[in-house]
Amino acid sequence: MIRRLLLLDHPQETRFFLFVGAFGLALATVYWFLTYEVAGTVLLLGFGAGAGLLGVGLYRSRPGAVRAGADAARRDADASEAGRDGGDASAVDQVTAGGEDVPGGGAGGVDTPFSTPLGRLPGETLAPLALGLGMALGLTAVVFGPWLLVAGLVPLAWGAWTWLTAARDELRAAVRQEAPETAPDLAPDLVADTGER
Amino acid sequence: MTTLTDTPPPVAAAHAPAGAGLDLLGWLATTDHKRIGIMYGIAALGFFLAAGVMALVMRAELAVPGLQLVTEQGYNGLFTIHGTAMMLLFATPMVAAFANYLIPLQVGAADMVYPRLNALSFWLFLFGGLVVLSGFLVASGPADIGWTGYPPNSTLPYSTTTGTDLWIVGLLLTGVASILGALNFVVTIFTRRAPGMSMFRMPVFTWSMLVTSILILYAFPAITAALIMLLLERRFGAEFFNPSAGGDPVLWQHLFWFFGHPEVYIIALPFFGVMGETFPVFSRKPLFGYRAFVLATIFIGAYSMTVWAHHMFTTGAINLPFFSATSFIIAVPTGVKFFNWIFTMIGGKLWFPAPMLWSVGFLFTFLFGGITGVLVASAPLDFQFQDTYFVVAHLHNVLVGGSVFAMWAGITFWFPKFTGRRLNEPLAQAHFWLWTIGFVVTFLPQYQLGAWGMPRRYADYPAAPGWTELNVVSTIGSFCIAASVVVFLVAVVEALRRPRDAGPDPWQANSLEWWADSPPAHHNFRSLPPIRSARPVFDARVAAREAQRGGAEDRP
Amino acid sequence: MSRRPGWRAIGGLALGFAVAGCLPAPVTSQGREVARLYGTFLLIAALVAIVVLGLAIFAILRYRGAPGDDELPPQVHGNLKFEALWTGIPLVTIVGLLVLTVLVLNSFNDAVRANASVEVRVTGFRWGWRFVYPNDGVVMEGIGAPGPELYVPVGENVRVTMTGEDVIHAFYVPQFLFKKDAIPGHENQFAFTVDEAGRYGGQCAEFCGIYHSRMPFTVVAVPRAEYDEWLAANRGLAPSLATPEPSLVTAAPTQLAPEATGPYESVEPTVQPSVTTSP
Repeated sequence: MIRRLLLLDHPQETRFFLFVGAFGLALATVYWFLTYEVAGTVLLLGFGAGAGLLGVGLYRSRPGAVRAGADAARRDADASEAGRDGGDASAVDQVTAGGEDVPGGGAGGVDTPFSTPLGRLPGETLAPLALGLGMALGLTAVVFGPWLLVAGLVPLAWGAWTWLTAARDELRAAVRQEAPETAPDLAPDLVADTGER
Repeated sequence: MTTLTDTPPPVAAAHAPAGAGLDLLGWLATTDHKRIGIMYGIAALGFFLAAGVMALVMRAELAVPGLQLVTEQGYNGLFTIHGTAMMLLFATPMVAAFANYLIPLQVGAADMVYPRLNALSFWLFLFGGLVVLSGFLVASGPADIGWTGYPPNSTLPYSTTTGTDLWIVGLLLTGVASILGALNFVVTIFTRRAPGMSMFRMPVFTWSMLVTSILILYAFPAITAALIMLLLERRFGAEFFNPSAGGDPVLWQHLFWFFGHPEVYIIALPFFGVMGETFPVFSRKPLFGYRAFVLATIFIGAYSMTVWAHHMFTTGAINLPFFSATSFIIAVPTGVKFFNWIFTMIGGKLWFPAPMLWSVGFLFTFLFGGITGVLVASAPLDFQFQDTYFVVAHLHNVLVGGSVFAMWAGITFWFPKFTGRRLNEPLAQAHFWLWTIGFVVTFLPQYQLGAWGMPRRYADYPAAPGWTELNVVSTIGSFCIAASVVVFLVAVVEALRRPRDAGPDPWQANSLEWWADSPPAHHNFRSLPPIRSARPVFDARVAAREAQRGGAEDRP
Repeated sequence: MSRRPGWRAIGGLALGFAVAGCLPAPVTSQGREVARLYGTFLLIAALVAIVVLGLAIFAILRYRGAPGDDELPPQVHGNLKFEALWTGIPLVTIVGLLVLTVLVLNSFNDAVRANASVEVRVTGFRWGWRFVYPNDGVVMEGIGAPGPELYVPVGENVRVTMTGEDVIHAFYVPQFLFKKDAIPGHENQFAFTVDEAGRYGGQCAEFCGIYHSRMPFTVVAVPRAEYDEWLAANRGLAPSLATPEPSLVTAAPTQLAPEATGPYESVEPTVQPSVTTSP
């Protein structure tokens, strides 16, 4: 019961955000009734609600592996000693990873509940530099005049276009590669979605 | 003397792969977290040198009463850009530099989750920083509003320099860069950890960066909003902070410090994390109380969001006991960390290469920053110290005595990982001793000046008894610090001229980055050790040693 | 400037180490409370520093590894009792410090609420001060150095209501151990009782623009009789608030006589304060 109340069946990540969110909301409440000062209360509420919503999001997306791992850990804990944390289940067997599948993990044990497949890492690209330069020039136009905005739009547009097309191509390639086995539900949507562009 | 916008290109050139020459396009187009991290570090050090030169000019001006070197307007520009650059163009990007380089390595990943976004963060920061500094190039001069930029003094009838607008625009860009970077760190830590690395097996630096990134995500939007409001007020006739039109100047202070105090922890917590890495390695023990350390980090992070108005004690617009209380409370988890570090040393087998010297130096100097922090957290005491040199000394004691000491520890500690070469130990130690002496000599007298009532942000001061003497001492100390930085640069150049010889794990360290090559290969790891504790590389080393011994016994 | 800079520097360093953190002698009853509180804090700070630094120095001296010693020391991961101890003791300490802090704050607030025999309205502007005695029809105003004088009777509660005219300034008298911001659109109140007759230099402490360092003022604490004489001599000279003119915005820096800014302690000004009164 206590395990359930303390959310010990949930990953550390979830509890971390829920704790921070609860802290922010509690302090916002205390602060409001001590001071009736609006700016600080709004800021604290934003902090608490922001962290709390992330926590709730993670709570609702509690991965199945975690559930299974937590159940196993609880059985272990009942059987032998007091278990410490659901998310820290050291019972899960580890393998010395080697070769291609190492970077980024992705095995998805309970130790890394929110792990995602690595996907593709982009190669060298000037798009971020162009985009950054464009944003900097464009914003500086506020100081020196609209001509800078025009100068900034060129690298901005080129950078954004290069970036987005590269990302689209990578997504297509990844979906083509992984669709049959790993993402049967997801793949058709993604293919349709990227196909439209 | 270097010009103010100088960044040191020789170092950049030397970081290119051996024999490849300067692969300029490769650096400009890179999405590799290691290269981005190194670019962050070099750019941050460049801004550090620029802001340091500004500090030297100010100290030279303040050595004796009267205006000798700069005008009042020039002085105001110098301390504004010095503070801004040190906080937001040096310390914060330096955090990003360590985080970029180390987080993927420490969690056993090939790169960040969003490599292109990572590159965009860097370029936004670099361009933003250059926009801030470009105030020195415009006719009316740089921003003259203090790094806190309080309106109405920063609004239009009162601050007429174009530099102030450039300051706003530049900080907006760097703010967006920080938010994007923090997002990348959080997602990377959550989704890219190697198999077996649960949250409580993460290295404490990664833990600290997780908490720091959360702080960035909630603190930087406040300053971004405030800067946009200020820009609207200066350029488009808004009246957010103008009391005669129904605005309120104190609103800026709330928004600014709601960012500004977490910002102090944004540039402190990661370096506390660095200390959590170095003390165990050079004591050859695990971190004492790993969980307590992590929980203390989370508590400091959470409480740091609730203490902002202790910068506003003298405004009369806030609840004094509430903010005194929350500010005092932060001392407790910080104290926990102190004891964690000290008890890591107790019972160990200590050795003192440069990173450990910096770590111990950090312990001594940061303690005084922490203690004086408790003094100024008490509102009645702050009524005397606010806006005097006591606060100047305190904040430098925290940021230099804390963060920058730990930063040097981190740089000397990971230098073999970054470059494949060890720093020359005598030069690195000379850097430490010169810096430490310079630091004490610079900032200790400022406590007394502040207690006597010398206000900060004064271009000139009266020749009251004792004031000139202490200011002369402080100025001498600041040039000692400058000399130590020169020694450091010499040590870096010396090291980079040698062939790579450090090996993957020169310190017998603990976390995964020491499993990779020095410097790591393109996608970091060829293999990973099993991760069953917070010290996988240590475990692997012990296992290998036992296998060796066992093997020897098996075959007599 | 007669001594050689080297000796000055060494003397200054010694002075810095010897006195680091000494407050000026407080001259108000509120200032004395702050000084007492500061003493308590310093005592506890010293204890903390001794314990922490002592432990650190002990660790550094006692646990040096021998060169070539390859054996690992015992791998201690933590100790719950110790950790509880160094969480609990600081927690109790800061609760104590918080109580002391709140007590002083309450006494400040009590002084503001108590009867005050002198009411002054203080306005900070770029770059000078205006002191208005609304019950006595006296206005003192000064720009730049040496700034206006704020006359108060010794031993009586003086209540100040303060605002800023253009940007934020701060009213700071080092020997009061006190400052407060003068914020446009806000009215801040504080009260003080000066215990010793004398002249106490004050200054703006919130950055307010180019001549921020050039807006001093002086608090002049005199016995009641002398104060009444002063009031009588100045009464009616300035029935309305005067807008400062010429403003420092147009004044050349050299006209502001920076050498007359004066150190922040009780000294006789060399020139009469530049009181601008508009009849």
